[in-house]
Amino acid sequence: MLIKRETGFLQRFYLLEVMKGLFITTKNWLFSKNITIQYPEQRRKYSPLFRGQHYIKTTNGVENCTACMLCPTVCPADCIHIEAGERADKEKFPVRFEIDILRCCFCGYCEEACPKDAIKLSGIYEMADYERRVYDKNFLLIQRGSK
Amino acid sequence: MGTITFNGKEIPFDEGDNIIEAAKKAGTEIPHYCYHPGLSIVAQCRMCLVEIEGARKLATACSTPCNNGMVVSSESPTVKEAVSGVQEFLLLNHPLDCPICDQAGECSLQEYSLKHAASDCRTDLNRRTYIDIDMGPSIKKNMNRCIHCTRCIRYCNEVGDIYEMVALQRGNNTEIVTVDDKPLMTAYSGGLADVCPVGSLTTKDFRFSKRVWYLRRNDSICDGCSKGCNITVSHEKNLVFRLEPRENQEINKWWMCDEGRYGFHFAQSPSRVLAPAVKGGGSMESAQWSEAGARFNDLVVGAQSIAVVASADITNEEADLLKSSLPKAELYSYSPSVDSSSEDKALDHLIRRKDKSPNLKGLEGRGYSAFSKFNPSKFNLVVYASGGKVRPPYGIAKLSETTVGLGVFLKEEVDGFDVILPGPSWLEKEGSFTNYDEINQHFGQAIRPIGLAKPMSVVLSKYLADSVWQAG
Ligand code: SF4
Ligand code: SF4
Ligand code: SF4
Ligand code: SF4
Ligand code: FES
Repeated sequence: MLIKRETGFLQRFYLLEVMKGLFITTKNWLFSKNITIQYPEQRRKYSPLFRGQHYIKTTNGVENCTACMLCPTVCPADCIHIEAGERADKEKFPVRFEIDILRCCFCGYCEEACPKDAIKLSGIYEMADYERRVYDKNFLLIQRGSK
Repeated sequence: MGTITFNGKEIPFDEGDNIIEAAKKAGTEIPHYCYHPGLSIVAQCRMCLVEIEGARKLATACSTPCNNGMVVSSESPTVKEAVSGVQEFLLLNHPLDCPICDQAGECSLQEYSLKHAASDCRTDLNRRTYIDIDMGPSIKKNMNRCIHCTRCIRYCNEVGDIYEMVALQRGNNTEIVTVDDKPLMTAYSGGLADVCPVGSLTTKDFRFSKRVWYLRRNDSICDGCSKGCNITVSHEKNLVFRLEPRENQEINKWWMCDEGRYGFHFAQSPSRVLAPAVKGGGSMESAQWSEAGARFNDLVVGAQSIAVVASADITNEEADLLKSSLPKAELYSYSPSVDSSSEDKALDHLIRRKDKSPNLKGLEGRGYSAFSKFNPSKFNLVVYASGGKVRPPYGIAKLSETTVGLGVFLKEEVDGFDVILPGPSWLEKEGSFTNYDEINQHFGQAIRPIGLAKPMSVVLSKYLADSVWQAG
């Protein structure tokens, strides 16, 4: 809604207002601390709760994931695609595990739903790429972060 | 007929009902594992305990028939405590490996644990473990999850008519095995997965292929034989994952056979022809619908004499349609195992029939004659209509001058055809089958037609010239 404000006599000259503005600018320029940092040499500290790039936790080189499909069930973006299979050392394991990362909204529900502590969101946030990436199982099995 | 007072409400019961059935009709489920309406009653899981006024102890609702004027409670504190105790005992040894258990999502143990048991665990004892025995090609056994309800043993004896499953040892150490660890040899083994209330017996076919909560379900009719068992089709994203029996006391009761249960795979087989094809220089080449349809019309218009041979798995509606759209044609039906429905007979004590097509009776009723009377040399054009699983007789297309295939065909069968117009299998269309007993059953469509398949009604009305329809 448009609210009409009365302009006073002095304000109508603008000069005083311009001076006020310049004063604030000059104050910040000369006396305040820098808020930008020299990325990528300098980095900010993020909260340990930050939700970034996914990985699948492994134990003795074997993925924790048992292809229970709880994470694709809970994922609101519908971006996790798993195909289950069976092999000698593991009754049920993911033959295919893919995250269509561009659709992910980083809600972290998958991590929360996982009964096997397998899918994790690391602290990594540099995920820009030259192509439309779909994270496959090999990529997800690379351990990142200590969360 | 009479009434009992159940949880303070008067509810009616039919003669012979036990308390579980009477409560079910009134909309209350009394938790139960060992009771199954199709099997004998053994009252051994003790999950269905209820309090009956005047009785000294709690009674099992499955083995107690209703008596007029009985006062029953399934909600009193005593019952609640007893049921949650029973449930806790059942969980003592349970692995709770729901993440890898195919039953998860439709498991009685999960449901009742949630509803009737405490959420914490009061034991840190080791759980018993077994090495699983092989139960044959159809069933996967996981003994760790078994709750000893013995439904499977009774199912084998009473339904499958085999006596190959037994319980060894007792109490905690009970193990359900097959005699001498032999694989189960019955035509009804898939039913074990249905009767087992937990994930101890599951089918190998469905194993790990889908979590059940993703599945959409549609009612349908099995197309495996002339019995016409009622089934439920479970599917997701236009792919069918399993068929299960649906109760119909007049036809299949609660059961279905393995042949029908696993028979749906043909519809999703990679060798199914999913695009129209026409004969070009010796072999079949895929074509546009318009091109193949025009060719079909030309053949029909140009033919002096036409025969329609329909495998007995097309629906009654399709049969009527063929009859009215090709009024000049002579009609024949084809079933692989019998020539006419008079040769059909029961294959065993339960449900399987000799005629391995679902709708021979329906076609006969519509004037389709037996395949043995079909003389291919009499006709210029044979239109072979296939509804699904019944495979056309070998080399049928080579017998007459020109042959058009309408419906479901496999790549290895199309040799010799002039035109193939792919149609939906019975999972992909709506219609009705008439079973051996003249019961006409309607079924709905479960999934969309696969590939470029088009329903027969569309093909006939769109591509056949009006003059063909009006010729009769
Ligand atoms: S973080 Fe959320 S959106 Fe992303 S994969 Fe996990 S559940 Fe899906
Ligand atoms: S929830 Fe965990 S165990 Fe289950 S499929 Fe996802 S990552 Fe695997
Ligand atoms: S039988 Fe039921 S409770 Fe047991 S592991 Fe399977 S789904 Fe879970
Ligand atoms: S295997 Fe299943 S049906 Fe058989 S006794 Fe165990 S729980 Fe019951
Ligand atoms: S259902 Fe009554 S005792 Fe098992």
